[in-house]
Amino acid sequence: MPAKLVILAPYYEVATRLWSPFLRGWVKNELEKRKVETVLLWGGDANRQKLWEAVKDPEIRGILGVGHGSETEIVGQNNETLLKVGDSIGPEWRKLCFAPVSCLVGQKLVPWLVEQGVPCAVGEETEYWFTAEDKPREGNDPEEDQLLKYYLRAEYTYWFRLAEGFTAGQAYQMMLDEYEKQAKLAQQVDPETAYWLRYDAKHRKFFGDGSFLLTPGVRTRVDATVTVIRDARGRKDDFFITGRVVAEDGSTPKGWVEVWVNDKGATVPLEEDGSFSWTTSMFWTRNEEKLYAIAVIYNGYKDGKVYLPSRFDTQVKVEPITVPTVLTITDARASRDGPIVFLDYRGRLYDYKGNPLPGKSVAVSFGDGELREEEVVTDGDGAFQGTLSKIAELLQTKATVRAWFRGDDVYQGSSDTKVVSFPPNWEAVIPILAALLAGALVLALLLASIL
Amino acid sequence: MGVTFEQLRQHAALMLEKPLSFSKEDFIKLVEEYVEGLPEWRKDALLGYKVPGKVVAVRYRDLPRVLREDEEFFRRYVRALAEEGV
Repeated sequence: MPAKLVILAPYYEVATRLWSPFLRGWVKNELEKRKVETVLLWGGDANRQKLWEAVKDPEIRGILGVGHGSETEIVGQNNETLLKVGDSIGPEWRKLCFAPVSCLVGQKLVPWLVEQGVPCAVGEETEYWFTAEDKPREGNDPEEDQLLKYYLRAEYTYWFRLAEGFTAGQAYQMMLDEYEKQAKLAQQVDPETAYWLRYDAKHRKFFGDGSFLLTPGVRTRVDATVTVIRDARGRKDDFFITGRVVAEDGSTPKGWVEVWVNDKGATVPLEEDGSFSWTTSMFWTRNEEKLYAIAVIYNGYKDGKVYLPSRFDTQVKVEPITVPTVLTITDARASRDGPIVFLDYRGRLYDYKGNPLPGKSVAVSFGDGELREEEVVTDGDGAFQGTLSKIAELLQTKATVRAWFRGDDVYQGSSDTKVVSFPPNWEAVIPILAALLAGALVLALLLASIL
Repeated sequence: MGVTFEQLRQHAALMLEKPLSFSKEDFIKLVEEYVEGLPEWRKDALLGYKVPGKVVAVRYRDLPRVLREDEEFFRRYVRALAEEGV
């Protein structure tokens, strides 16, 4: 029989307006993730008639939520009494756990309910104090309120653990531990909030049967390992998700798991030993940091033995990586035509594994001092070629050729350099040498005649 | 240096232990100093509790005024602050 819970969420003055949206959003959602159905009594529905009607459903196994309280009663929308000492508690109440957040009900109302046969209950002996930000909220994530989040995470540990198959006694202790954990976290931000968390936990008392179970069955857990490898060249992240569903009693759970990476998922049958594995790729357009939410959900299984649902959640951040490249000038030859030197070059661009990189822009420069530069694009084999010319000095016989790939979001830059040789400009040099020689000869003759 | 929350708690405990050594107004002035020392976002936050009644959530900026005006709230607040073993 599936478990159902009633969520009391009055919404009529500032305190309930702060708290109840998280019941309608986050708490309800988290319970449903754990395969517990919920009956939400929101706003005007948080009244006595609806509550008493709801508990008549034989599948209802608990009442949570919020409501102002006193020693002898808890109230709902517009302070209407929902339940009070002296009410007629019939068998429909003797199957559920009663644990809304409410001041003072731990003094008389809650112990009295347990005396009437309600199997378990949690109630506050004093006021339940809390701090909260005063701003609009959707209620889908406790992080929406930087103060109230500590109380929410601590308090609803009780119901989440119950939904996961822990006994009421275990879930209660886990809740108290979580209050302390949240108080330590809050201490860094707001010591007063840490104080109220510890105060509330100290006065949050358990009554009744610690062995109460929301859903009888064998508790399970999902152990999973997530490996992600970024394939920058393929513009994707490859996920390898493996693991096992483990039953608390040592038996091997049957059934299947849902495995999700963000909104991409699959149903994977469990092997005979309860293990599973799934691989998938998440494609992207920009090589940038990506954050992925991974969930492995075991929905439980019933086959003689009942295996309770469980899940594994984690987040994985994948950093951008770039692929090293190699650029080579495979051939570079220069020739001269008078003052002009022509360069014919060829080269190739490939990644560190030797895969050619087609369609990449490569810059080539030629010269020392005065440079000639052009951009060429690699062909399908990652090859590039071209011709450059420049004016060289008369006696210049060498020049540097440099080719470089600047890199992009996937590939790292790389470059290569070569020195090419070419003859001097003889056509211009010879007449000058001849003139110089003739001048020297004339000078020598003049000197000889003087001497 | 303003009043810390811990100092506020100590004074609350002192008020309960030796009621004549400390007046209500002395305590509320300490609360004013404490609130004054809070960051702006925190002054706009709320302190609440879940009893059916006229005060269920108080903005920290208004805390001194509400403590002066609402005797029941004052009593509950001081008693909760003075709790030992928290």
